[in-house]
Amino acid sequence: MSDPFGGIPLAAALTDEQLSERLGEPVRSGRERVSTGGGRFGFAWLGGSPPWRHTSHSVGFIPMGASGAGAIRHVGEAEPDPSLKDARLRITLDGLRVADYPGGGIHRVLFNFFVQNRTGTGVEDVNFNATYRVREGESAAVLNFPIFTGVAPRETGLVIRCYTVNVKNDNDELFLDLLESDALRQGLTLVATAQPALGPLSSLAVGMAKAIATRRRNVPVQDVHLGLDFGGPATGARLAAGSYVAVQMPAAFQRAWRWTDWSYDASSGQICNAAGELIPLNYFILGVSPSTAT
Amino acid sequence: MIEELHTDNVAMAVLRIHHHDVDGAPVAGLEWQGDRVTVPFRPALDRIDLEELRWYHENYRERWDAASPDQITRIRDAQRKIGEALHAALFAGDAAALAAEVRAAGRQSSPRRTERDAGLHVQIRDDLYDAAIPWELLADPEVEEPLVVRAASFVRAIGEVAPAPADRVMRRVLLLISRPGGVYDIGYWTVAYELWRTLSTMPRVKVDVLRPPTFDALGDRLRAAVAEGVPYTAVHFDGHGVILNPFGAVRDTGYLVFETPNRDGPDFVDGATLGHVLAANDVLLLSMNACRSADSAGGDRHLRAEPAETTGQPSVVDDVLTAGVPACAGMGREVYPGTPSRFFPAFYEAFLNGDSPGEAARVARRRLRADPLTAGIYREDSAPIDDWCVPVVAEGAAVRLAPPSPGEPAVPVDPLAGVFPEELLAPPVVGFDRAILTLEAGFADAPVVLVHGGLLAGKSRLAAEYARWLSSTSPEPRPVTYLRLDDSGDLRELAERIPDDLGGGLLILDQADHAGRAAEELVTRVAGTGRVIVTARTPHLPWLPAHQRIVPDNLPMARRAALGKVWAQDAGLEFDVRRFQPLVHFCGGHPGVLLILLEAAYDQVSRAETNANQVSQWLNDAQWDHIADLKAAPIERVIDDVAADVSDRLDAGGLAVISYVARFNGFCDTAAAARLMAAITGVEVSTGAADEVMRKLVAAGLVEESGTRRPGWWLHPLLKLVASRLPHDHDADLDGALIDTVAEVCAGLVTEFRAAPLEVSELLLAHKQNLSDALWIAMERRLIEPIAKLTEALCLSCRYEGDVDLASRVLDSALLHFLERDTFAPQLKPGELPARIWYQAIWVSAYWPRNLRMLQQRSALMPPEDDQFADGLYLRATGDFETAVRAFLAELNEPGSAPRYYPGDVEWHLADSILTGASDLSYPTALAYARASHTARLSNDVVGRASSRILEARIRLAMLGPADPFEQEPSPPDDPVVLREIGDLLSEAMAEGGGGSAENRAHWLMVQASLSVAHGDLTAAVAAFEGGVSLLARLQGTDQWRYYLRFAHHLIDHGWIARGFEFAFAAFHAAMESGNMMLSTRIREFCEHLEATYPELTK
Repeated sequence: MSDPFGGIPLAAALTDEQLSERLGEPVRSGRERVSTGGGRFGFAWLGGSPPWRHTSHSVGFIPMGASGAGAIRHVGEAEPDPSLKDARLRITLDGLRVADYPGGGIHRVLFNFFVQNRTGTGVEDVNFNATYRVREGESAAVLNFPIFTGVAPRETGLVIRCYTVNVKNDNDELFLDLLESDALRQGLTLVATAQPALGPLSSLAVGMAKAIATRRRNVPVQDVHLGLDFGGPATGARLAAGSYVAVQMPAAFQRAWRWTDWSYDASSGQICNAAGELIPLNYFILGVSPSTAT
Repeated sequence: MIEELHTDNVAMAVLRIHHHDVDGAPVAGLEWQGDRVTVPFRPALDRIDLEELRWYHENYRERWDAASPDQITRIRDAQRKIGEALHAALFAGDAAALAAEVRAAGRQSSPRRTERDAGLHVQIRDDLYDAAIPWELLADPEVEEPLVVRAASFVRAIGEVAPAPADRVMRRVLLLISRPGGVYDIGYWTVAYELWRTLSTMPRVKVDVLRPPTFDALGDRLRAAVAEGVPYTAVHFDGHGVILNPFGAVRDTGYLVFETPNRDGPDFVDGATLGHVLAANDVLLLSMNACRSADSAGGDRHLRAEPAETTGQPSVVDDVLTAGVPACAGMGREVYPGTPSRFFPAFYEAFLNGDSPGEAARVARRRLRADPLTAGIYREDSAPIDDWCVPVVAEGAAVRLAPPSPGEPAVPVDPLAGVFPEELLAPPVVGFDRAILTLEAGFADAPVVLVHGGLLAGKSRLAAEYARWLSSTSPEPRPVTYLRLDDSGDLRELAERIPDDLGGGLLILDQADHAGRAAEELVTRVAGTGRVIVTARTPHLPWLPAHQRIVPDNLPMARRAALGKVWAQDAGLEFDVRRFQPLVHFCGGHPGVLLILLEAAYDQVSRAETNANQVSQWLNDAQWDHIADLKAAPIERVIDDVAADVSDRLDAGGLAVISYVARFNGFCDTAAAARLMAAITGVEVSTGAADEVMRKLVAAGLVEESGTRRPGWWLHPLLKLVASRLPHDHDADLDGALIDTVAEVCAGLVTEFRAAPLEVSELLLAHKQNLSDALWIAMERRLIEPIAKLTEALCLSCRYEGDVDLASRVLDSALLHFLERDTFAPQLKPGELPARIWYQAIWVSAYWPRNLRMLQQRSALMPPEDDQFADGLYLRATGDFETAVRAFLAELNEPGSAPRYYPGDVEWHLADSILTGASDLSYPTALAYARASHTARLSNDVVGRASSRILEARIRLAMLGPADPFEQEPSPPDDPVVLREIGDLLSEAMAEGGGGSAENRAHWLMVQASLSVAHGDLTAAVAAFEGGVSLLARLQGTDQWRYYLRFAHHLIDHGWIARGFEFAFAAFHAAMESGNMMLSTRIREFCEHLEATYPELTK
């Protein structure tokens, strides 16, 4: 799998100056700051950096039907579901929270989804674009939003990539309105046989996402690769029916992150702490379930 | 009767305490001789006592001057009081009868006992994390020693502690030194060096250092050790710890901060994650000097009006034990290196010799108690820090290593015996933290490192000690080869004996300044097969292939004193650092210079045949006839070698330059060097030519690049001695040239100060000794104009740094050159220069002149009649604020011709005078002038702009409270919007970069203190106030009662009655010190009013 977005820096990799230039508005984000001052063995985590500056992601897994405290586990702790090996899968966007993206107000977020689909003749790379509007600090009104229907995982598992772009360019926003047409809101249905039209359509989706990501006033924010398998080293991630939550977080805390500190409230579709407060980080949730489509 | 677990003639008694809750109520379960008693547990602990004790352990060392001896005594008493309160709560009710039995068992825990296990063993299990009970303070009122040092073992536990004998043939200890902040972090060797030196002398003990200190590397190393069949017995984490909750999880978590590859940010690792890795790899003990690694208190370290609703959490120590590691030691407080560097060597020595961790901790705690942490090496009179209660040791199992067999060698064989010349092995090095850290990192990037630096900077010692450290602390063998080059740099014969493959080892080419082709061939031949260190005075060795460069650390004063102590200890001598202080200062931080001076002068100085001040004067003046009376042969040999070296490098002109440059004291910049040369020779010298000579002196090890924002050079302390051995012009007026040069260079800097305060103050500080020297000579020669210029520059530097005391002394001396000594009548006609001195005097210190007669004479000190601005300054200095305001207003309405002040200064002084001396009705007026002063500032006047913003914040804050500091009615509630705006003003002031002067910092801190009170953060408030008031005391004298009283008001208004009363009392003390009895009486009455209003103060 080649990287079509290689060479396009994420917002986290840009300096405030570069980002200000890119967005056409002043950005004063600060950087993650620590202090080892005072000559003691103390250490102060002063934060200071907004969620979109974080360079890592932690991925959790919510089994089908689970809710409440303990519902979310680290993706490495998920039990693989071998029955999905030969199943066709439905992949949905089940949640999108923008705690903070560059700029403010209502964000237009372009999602590029990538999946590898097994066909009778081999494996094809499939891309699909979707766009959502989210107000800063809130979640997008998306639940069970179809992305791919009928995906056949490879024998070793499923490879998914999600790439988000914060779109501020007015011309692009008009263009993106196309993606909100009813036809494209149904997601992409894949079938067992190779579809000749799929290749060009997929290339078009990549090309469009790439073009938008590099345009002035737009900037990519998240880039998450997920390799889900049916068993392997403890450091890996397992494929099972349920939801995968990808949280953008500081690299410094990736090892210390505990999914047990957070619960999934199925009634609201939100991830909260014990006090009911929303997680102060950007995240999205992908649902994986067996598909009835063929 | 005591539960007997052993048949030794002294029995083992175990007291188990379990702190938990029953139906929401805290209880303590005591288990003793099979009996169990449960008592309600609510010790009467005072919040303020606890906070002050925390301050004493965590902050006192860096703010030792903020507390009086009485306060420290009171806090130490409170420490004992807390321990006794715990004891009273524990042995109450049904448990009261146990106290005597426990006391009796404790008596059998005599340190002289020989049987292991004997005596009292205390195990404490605490499930109520948020209570964060300081169990280590537990003290029986009837016994002087606290239980933690009296009992044979005193440990925290999470359950039953079973004996766990362990037989490890080789005791491997893995040292993990994590410094994510790199060279800006705590010294690399502050804890590890002492620990390594202690353990490396023990049989069957091998210390390894984890390289790189990352979490992934830790797992790899531990697994490799298990695979080798020799798992690590202990892992010591030497790094930072923190408790935090960055994203709003259920509770806080304690983390250790690991490095990441290339120090690309920190890596926070919690106790459970670490513990699982350690337990899975058979590690028996984890020890940590990380801050708060044994603390279960939630939230931050601040005492708040409304305690944060955090529930506490298991400490890192608890989590590690829960994960299955048998024993763990951590720190209950934020700690300075002084505590772990004293605790852990003793702890490990006992543990590796067969004591359980709890027993080993007792040995180490006794060491801490017998030799408490001093507030500073030069502060021997200050009260020490009782830090024996800071380490916390926990046991899941009482691990006890089999002691060494009687036949084993007492000291392991040194694999590097005979490798290094004797003079490079003793005494142990002191300092070099940054250099060692950089060496560790440097070898990750390049296999060759050049250690360069001035004469006797410790380059060879650094290389040798690093070699011993690397060789000794690497899991795999690291053979070391040492080659010292002779003066000709000849290496051919030696080099041929070096194999092509270093086998991962280390090659040292020492003193390679004159090395040539053979060295190049050797380094090229072996590069890539191991590591190579080359030492030289010069930083430029063109023949050396790609390499990193490192300069040994210049030792700060405390480290120099420590080196002196180490040297004396090694020689079996006593060392009183105060007696040798002039030599400690003279050496300039070069360890080799200090050692050679101590060897030369120790006998005469310690026998009081001469004093160190005299010796340093001889050295400074190159008085060889006196120096010869010392054991001077080594000094002469070094000086003659260097003189010969520079004679080879420089022509006659260059050698003459050395004698000129040597006239500077400690520092010169290139422009100053060129100007000085021109002043002496009468020939214009380009800065390029001066630069060229200076670079040759760098190569000779006689000067070093200063690293200041504007280029300059630090001069070697022995430069004057070297210059005296070189041909020079005896008739040259070096002193006169120095006066002209320094006066002109510094006068130029003064004009740039407001726009570039950091650069200018840095250079003025570097030139301080030159300024002082030149001023002294100018006074001797009665050169009025240079005196004026030098005084102004020196005072400006002092004022920026807050050293007004020195400024005042300088002004006292300088003024005598403008006045008649007896009558104080002006010696000169009023003119620009005397006036300039005068203005400067007032500007620098409101309390100067200290001689009141000068003020009373007035005529000589009165400003010229047509100078309203100077008049305002003068009047304000004398305390006549109202007339001062009128003078500033007059200047504002009708500015004098050619004013010396900057735009905005008059408005600033006007507003400041109103704020300090006028009624509250004038505050809005003061605010308007403060804002006007900011508007009037030049865009590049960063100091002035910051001052204006801080003044605006001060006025707005004052408007929130009563103008009369004796007001007894409570103030109205704070307006949060106003508070936020005041905070914004402070942020703006600091963001502009001009807030760094002592005056700006002082006022900034004072406002910050009040804001913190308003935000309910007492800890931050007191810290800021102490910092601010101490700076203001230096700037303005001792008359600080007003600040204390206002702060007391703030505290009382916000409910901190007891603390407010203390600060009101401090105001009373300040008034007494200022000698104002009427004021003292008023403040005392105010305090009495407080006592009457708040009866709890007198309980």
